[in-house]
Order: sequence, then C-alpha cells, then structure tokens
Amino acid sequence: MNDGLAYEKLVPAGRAKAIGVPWSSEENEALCLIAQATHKPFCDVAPFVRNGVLTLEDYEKAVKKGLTPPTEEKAREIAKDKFQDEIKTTGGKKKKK
Amino acid sequence: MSLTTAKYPALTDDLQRIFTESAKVSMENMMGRQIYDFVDTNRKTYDHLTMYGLPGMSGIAEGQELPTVTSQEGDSLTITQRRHGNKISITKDMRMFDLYNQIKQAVKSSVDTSFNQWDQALADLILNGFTGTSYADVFGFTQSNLANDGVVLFSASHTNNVNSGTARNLIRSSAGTDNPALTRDPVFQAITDAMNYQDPNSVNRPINLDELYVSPKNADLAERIVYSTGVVNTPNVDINPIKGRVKKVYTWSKLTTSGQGTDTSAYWSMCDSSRVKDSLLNIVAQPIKMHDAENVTETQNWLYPVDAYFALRAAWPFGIWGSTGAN
Repeated sequence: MNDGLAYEKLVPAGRAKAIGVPWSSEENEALCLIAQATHKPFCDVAPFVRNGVLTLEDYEKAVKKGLTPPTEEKAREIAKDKFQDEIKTTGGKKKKK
Repeated sequence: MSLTTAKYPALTDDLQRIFTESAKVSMENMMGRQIYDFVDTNRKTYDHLTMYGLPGMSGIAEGQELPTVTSQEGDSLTITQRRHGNKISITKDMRMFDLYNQIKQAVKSSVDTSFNQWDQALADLILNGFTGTSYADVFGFTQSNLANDGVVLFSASHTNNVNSGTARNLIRSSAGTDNPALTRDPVFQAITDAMNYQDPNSVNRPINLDELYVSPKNADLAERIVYSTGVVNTPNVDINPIKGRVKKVYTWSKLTTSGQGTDTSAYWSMCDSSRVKDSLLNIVAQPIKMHDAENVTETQNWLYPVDAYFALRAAWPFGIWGSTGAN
C-alpha cells in the first residue's frame, strides 16, 4: 500500500523502519525511550531497533559488546550480495523443496 | 400510464431533484464534517505539509541581518484521490407499472447509505487510530491510520524531524494510565496535557481541547461531566471548571461500532475546534454525484451511476486527542 508518507526522509532519520514500512507501536515506543534515555538521535538508535533491540537494557548490552547493527544501506548491500551469490550457485532456478 | 423511454428526461430530472434533496439532508447529518477539513481540490494527488513549529523570532542588534526561517522543518504527506461508487437500478417493472414510490425510495435510500458510509469512514480513521498501521475501510480500500510523522494517529510518542523529543495525543489519567475510561479525571488531564504542549523548539503552543466526542452510550455521562454546574458525582458546592473549558459535547453514533465491526462504544476523543482541521483531512475532488442513466439492453433496467472522488488522512496529530476507554 502506498500510504503517502515521505519515507525518503523518515527512514534516514530513523523515524520509519524501511521504505514503505512504518515502525510498529512497540518499536516506536522502544525507539523513543532509548533515544531519550541515551540522548542520541533516532538515526543512531534505529539500526538497533531494526535488529530487534526493544529495551534500554538490551541496547546497553549491545553497545557494551561493541555490536554495530547494519544500517539500512548496509543491510540492503548484504541482501543484494546474498541474492547475487544465490543466482550464481543456482543459475537463477528455484531450489527444489 | 407507464414511464416509457420518451419520459426518460423527465424522470431523470425528477430523480436528480430527489437525489439533491436527499443528499442535502444526509450531508447535514454527517457529524464528521465538524472535525474534518473538507479540502476541495481537483488534484489527483494532494501534497500536505505539516510544520511542527518554525524557530521563532530572535533579538536583532542594530544593523544585524534577520535570521531566515526555513520550511525544512515538518513532515510532508501525499494523499491520493480514490473513486467510490455504485449504480442505482430503475427496473423495467418499476417503469412499466409506474412504481414511482419505489423509484423514489431507491434513490433516497442509496444516497442516505452512501453518506452514512462516508461518515462511518470518517469515524473509522479515529476509531482505528490506536494500533496497527492500516485497516480495510468500509469501501474495501486499505486505509492508513498513520499521522504524517509515520506514527499511529493516537500515540504517547509522536516524533518530529528536529530532535528526539516526543509529544503525546493519547489521553491518560492523572495517574499516568493510557486509554482511561471516560471520567472527569482524564478529561481534565487531557485538557492540562494539551495546554502544556511544546513544539520541537520547546515553545509552548497551547492546544485548547474544547470539544468532546462520544458514542451515544457515553453521552449521558459526558454531558454530566461537562455541563453540570458542580463537580459531577460530588455532594459539595464546588463549581465545575470543565464546564467553561469544554464548549460542547458531540454524540456521534458512528463511534458505537467501527466499520470493521469492533465495539468501540467506550472510545472517546477531545478536539481543539480551531485546530482539529489540521489533524483530519478529507480531500474531495467530486462529492457524491448521480449521473444520467445507462440503458442496459437485455434487462431494460436504467442504471444511474453514482460516484465520488475523495480520500481521508490524518496529518498533524495534536488537534485531536483520543482514548479507547479500555482502562
């Protein structure tokens, strides 16, 4: 569905999950809570929330471990590389179940 | 004498007159028109920009240049027109046997249904504004329930594009419980929260919640909370401060059950009458209109197409505050 939102601005600012995908209520609450508690902009916190971090505790753990979740662009590159590898191995044919 | 093809122009004129009269009455009964901004536009896509509050004025020293205020701050939204319609069938039998009453009823009833559906669609955007990101509206379209910040219409955490600050338009009680049932306490808390609203630049821009919208089930309670001379349900002689602040209680029958079949009779909302039209948009390219009939050869029915182009959206969320009344 084209919901008419300006995703090209919302996504880089961390205010939407992906192009055409808004945050769920739970994710938005987590994003705001973590951003406000850590005084960080939404765009810094958003990659963590995109990867399932939904509490301040989990965010702090992830930061302590030095985890840096892929950004939207990086995630897209990884997906693209993975897709191309799959094309090379399967020759573009669907895998049999 | 039967209504023959020769009488088609006269019948069509007559039906148009019935249609217009019925539409006038039905449109007057549309409660949603009170709070939605009906934007008349010929554009198929309508671009809307919401500004959260531009930086204000600064003190200017002698000879100093004035600071520029840009329109970068704010969220934009594109609303696309949608066509809604049906056909009113005037059958061969109706014409053959001069069943004028049936013909008239077919038009009147169809018009009334269409306007009631439209009003329900207006209510549904509010009723579905608490969870999820979209829903199937009464016409079968997928309707977004997000405000232009990408957050569901009623939220405790609306975002902006200036900083990580958030603002709410989800009603809470004085104890901090979201979605409280309708009582005096959350009504007063909502008025207070709205008055204290700060834009992203920390400028207080008070929102004056002066209208209360309830379903018929809550009408009695709402009117007692707002219109009582003293504080409702208390034996003392205090005056009722809410009486002066909330100017009107609106009972909207479409709030009882959503178009999606959910019992929403406990839902209630409050609006700032001067700003709610920034929050709820209904763009209209063509209101409901009946066109001249097509003659369907095989059945000999005369089919009068009825259609409209319009679309709904939530924009700047803070002109309307809501609660599901669940807690």
